[in-house]
Amino acid sequence: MEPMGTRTKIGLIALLMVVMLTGCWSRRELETLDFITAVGLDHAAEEGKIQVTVQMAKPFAITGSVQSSVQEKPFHVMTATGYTVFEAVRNLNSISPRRPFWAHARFIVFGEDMARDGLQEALDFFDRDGEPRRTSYILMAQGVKASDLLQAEFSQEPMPSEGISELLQGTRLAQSTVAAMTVNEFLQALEGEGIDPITVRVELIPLEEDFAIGGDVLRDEVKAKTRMTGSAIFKDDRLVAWMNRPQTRGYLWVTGQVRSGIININEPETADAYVSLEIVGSRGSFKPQLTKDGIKILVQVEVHVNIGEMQQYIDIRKDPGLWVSIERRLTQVVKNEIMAAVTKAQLFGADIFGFGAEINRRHPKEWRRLRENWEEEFKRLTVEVEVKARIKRAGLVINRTPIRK
Amino acid sequence: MLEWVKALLGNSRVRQTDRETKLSSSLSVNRKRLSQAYGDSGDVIIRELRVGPRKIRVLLVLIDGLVDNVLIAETVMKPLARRGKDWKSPRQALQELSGGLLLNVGVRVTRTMKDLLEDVSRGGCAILIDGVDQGLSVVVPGWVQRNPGEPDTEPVVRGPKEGFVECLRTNTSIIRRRIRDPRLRIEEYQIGRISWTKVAVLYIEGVASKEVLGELRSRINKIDVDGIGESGQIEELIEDAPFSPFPTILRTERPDRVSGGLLEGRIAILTDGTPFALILPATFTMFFTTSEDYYERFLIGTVLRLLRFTSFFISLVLPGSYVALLTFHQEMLPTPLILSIAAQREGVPFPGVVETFMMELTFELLREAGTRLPRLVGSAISIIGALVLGDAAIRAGLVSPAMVVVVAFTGIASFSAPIYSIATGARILRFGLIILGGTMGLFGVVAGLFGLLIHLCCLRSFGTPYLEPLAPVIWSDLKDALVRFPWWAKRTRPSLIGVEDSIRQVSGLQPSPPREEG
Amino acid sequence: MFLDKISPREATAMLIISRLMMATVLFPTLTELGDPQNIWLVGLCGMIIAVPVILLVVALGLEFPGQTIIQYSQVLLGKFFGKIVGLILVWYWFHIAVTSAAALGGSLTSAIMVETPEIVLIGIIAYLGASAARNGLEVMARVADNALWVVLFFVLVTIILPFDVMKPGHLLPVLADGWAALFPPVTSAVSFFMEFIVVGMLIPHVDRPQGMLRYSAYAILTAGTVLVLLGLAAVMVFGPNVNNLSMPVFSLARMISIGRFFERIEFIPMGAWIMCAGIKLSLFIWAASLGLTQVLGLGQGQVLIYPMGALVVASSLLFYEDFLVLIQFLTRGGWSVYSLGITLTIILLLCAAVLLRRLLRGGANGD
Repeated sequence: MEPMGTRTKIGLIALLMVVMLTGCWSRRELETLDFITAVGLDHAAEEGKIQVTVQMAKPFAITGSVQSSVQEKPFHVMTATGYTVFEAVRNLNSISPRRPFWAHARFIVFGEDMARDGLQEALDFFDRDGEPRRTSYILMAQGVKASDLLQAEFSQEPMPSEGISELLQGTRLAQSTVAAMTVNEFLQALEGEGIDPITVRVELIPLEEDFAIGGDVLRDEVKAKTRMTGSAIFKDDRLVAWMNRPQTRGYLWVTGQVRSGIININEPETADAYVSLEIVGSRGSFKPQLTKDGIKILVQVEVHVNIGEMQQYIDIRKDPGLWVSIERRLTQVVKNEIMAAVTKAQLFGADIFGFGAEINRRHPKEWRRLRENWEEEFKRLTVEVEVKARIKRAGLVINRTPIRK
Repeated sequence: MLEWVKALLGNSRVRQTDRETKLSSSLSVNRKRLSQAYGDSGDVIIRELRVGPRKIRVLLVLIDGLVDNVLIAETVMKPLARRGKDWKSPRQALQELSGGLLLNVGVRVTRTMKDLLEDVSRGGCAILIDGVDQGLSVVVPGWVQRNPGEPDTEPVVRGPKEGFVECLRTNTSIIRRRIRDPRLRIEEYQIGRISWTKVAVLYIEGVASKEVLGELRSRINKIDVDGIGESGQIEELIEDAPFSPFPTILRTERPDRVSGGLLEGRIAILTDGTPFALILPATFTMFFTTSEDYYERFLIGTVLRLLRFTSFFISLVLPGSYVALLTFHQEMLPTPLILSIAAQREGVPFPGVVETFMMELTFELLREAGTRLPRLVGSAISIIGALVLGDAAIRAGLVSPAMVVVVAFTGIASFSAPIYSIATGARILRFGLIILGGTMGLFGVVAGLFGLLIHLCCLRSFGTPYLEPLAPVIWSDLKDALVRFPWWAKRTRPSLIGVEDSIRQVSGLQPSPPREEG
Repeated sequence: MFLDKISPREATAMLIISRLMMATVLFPTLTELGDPQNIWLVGLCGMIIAVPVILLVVALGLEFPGQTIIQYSQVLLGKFFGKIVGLILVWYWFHIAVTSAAALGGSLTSAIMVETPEIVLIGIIAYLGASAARNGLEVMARVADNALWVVLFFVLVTIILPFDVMKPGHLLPVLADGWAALFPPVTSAVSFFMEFIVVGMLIPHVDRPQGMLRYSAYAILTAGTVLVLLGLAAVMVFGPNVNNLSMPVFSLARMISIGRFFERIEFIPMGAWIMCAGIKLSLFIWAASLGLTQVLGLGQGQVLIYPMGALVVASSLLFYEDFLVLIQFLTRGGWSVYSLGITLTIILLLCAAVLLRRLLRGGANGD
């Protein structure tokens, strides 16, 4: 019995010695790392090369740190080029005194030029390497290079990458006008049959010297801001078109991702006044149906809204028909949004909804027939939309306070 | 005569035989031997009386300060003075004295020098009569001793406030008062060639395992040292895994803990001269229980116990994991956290592992200094520790505030182990894990913990697997390991320990409101 | 009281952990499956097929109480052929240990400890495993018994927590290409369950050998259920990408992100790997050493354990110089044919011998 303990103990000591004598291979001290918080990819000026732009945190400038007394931006941006992403990433080492560290990258931005030519050559690094994560988001910069977008800032949020992430979450939750995909989802959409990727569009807003708007105190520091307006749709790995906000919401209705948002309805119908409806819940799904004319997609959406605002006095208590009429017109708006999205997708032959994948799931035999020629089939596909809309609540007042003359 | 010369030379082997010598019938010889044995120690009182008309020579031997002088006068001197005049012969004197004349229950007839010296050393008064080769000893101890107070090392909020003291006899009496069944056996041994320390082995006949008892007896009998200073010495001489950082024998100052252990079928060892008792076989989970767990309601006891296990684990792995995360796995911390730590570490001149090691060392030094310092200057340590090392080190940029938080948290966690010895083990292992974490990252930490698990699985305490009932998993014993079941659900004794008599109480003790009749 | 006897449950724990080792490292990459959505079916079929085969091994063991598979194969097949069978089995176990060590080293170096030499990682784990084995089967069993809960907890966390990125739709369509497409992957899954032939070494050391019939089935079913769940989770999270991942379970853990704070918990699969690998190595190193001594008729198997461990470390670097070589061997049918070939031949051979012996004896007794 006794020697057991002894031997293990001696073994542990030996183990410690081995470790101490040889140790520390994968070690990297915290202060030798440069934390990348966002990545941008563009075509480099040189033909065939890729330009990688990274936004990195400057920990010592983060407020709360002992040394940070100066007003310094807590991030900096660096650029390097190479024939592959990996090479470009390594080239960063020649201009950065610290080792770039990828594990905390929040998102990857692609410049429009690059996205139009296809992302195939750029994505593998983010999947293969151990540091970047499949949970980071993929963003598309419209009209500008990704490197420019990474310079944009927010006045409330010192770290722009953090700001863009919050913006993305905020837009998704409050407006449901962007469709974002993580690397994981993007890659699935690329590899999966009968589905194409869609992801968020980001625009750059250069700030003019206009003191009338905005509450920025240190205006000269912030050169540009960003905003998220709709999404980018892909055919395979190529960006083919942009979708505006209603179209994007159309896509979200179909895939059941609408969380919240505002829909305006003219009421009274004739007047130039609106009723704002807040989406409080939605359910959306689609299923392929086999008919004698071929295959048909049935989209079913259910929307629950609250009345958020009324611009003119309407007595909805007196007239139940009014209620129904609002619901009917809400249905129409949702239908229009969905059809706009479907039309746009069909125009470019990009099956962002995954109709094909759903056909494969439900009717594998049918899919075998369609698979070869899916792009054409998709463009011709009949899509039928059923919307059920319900006004659930009206807030703290039922009718608005009328203005008596 | 040669013997005496040798004895004077201080040969201990001869002294041994000297003690084995029978008492002589000549008082002068005995007296000579006694003064030979004690030399001229100032506290030894050897007084010769002549009793009665026959002038029977009687010799009283005692050690001043060990005996109660009032009692001696009452129980020995008075009877001698009153009845001595009737004695015809020394033989008669002995008979009368041993036959009830001495007003004390603890009267013993001694035939050898050894017995006599032992009795005297325990606060006895030896009586030798000229012409008889036997002596008498009356044990009337009367030294100054501490009163049983609340144990300093294991305080409780609820529970008895009585602790063991340094006197073995008092301690056994405390246990006797808690377990009054005559089946409580107290076996006494005398260990230490020079110190003559009394050691008592306590167990309940018919409950404690006979094999364990036999093994313990043989291990105790093997001990042959010059002196026993504290029960820790016995622990080290009889434990199973002397090289392990984990103690395989539980030590406690609390009588309720000992009696609880005895009732489970464990064996306790009490040592004269120390308030610390030993309980064996001890298992890993026992070191995380307090006697309060059993007095508080079981839900609270369970939660507190789980808390203690968690905090032990934290105190073991936290600094190591922190180093590992800091220097190897920066990807495993949430972004805001790692950036904040990175911001704090800007300008810290040491690598993470050195910083951690340094701070842990500082903490250990503070702790050690705080324990050893006289109470009066103790507050100085806390000032230096808190203000100078904590605050100034951060201001000087030598350590990062996050590091201080980690060290402080580890420290607090390590204090919550109720038995000091297991926390000490964790302290050593913690440094090992810091090195592993600093050289191999989390792989090192996990591999270290895995090695630790293997080590724990190897350990046994007197035949009982150390991790019992966690490994081997014994479902019925899990009732009192990580959690504590209510008393009414603890029907059986621990199955590997109370093998002789496994049933502890009747079943169906769960209280419930009386059923409505009709 | 506890002299080298283990309970059936402890034996089960060792078997489950051994099976989970490869599963947590490389499953479902190993199954060479065309349609990833059928992966859970592969696990299911694999475990259902494996149960009767392994029960045969247990039944054989019960036929010869107190003897290991190596010992009774010498009784059944005669000294010479029995020893050959024994040597093959020893080689097989040794090879499993080598392969597992290589898989562990390869994945740790690709995933977490990129710059650390493999030999250090493998060496440390093999040392820990061997030291447990050196202390006897009982210690190994107790370590496994405890580690099983931790490993199962880790695996379940990995399976359940990425719930927010799971898409049940990825599981459809089931069996689009028919059952035939399942054949190669199921063979592969079964071939990994064939490691359980090591139960032939455990039975004589179990205190209630009869219980092993039940418990070895439990072991397969538990491990199989975990495989099915892992397969389901991986497919739901990664969809069609599953086939490209080299360490799906690890990638699965990387997907966990709850509340943007409880995330980045890669240490969970890593912890599971280390513990599983340590126990698996200890079991197979123990089996190989004990088997070797029994083949060669030496006394104690214990002395061989450390040399065997060192051999495993050295061989794992020699046999599989690169991770890709290992993946190639495990996925392209090589392993399935090899593993199934060896184990099924031996099991059938032994069963046939037992039946023959019974017939002969029955004839001799005349009843």
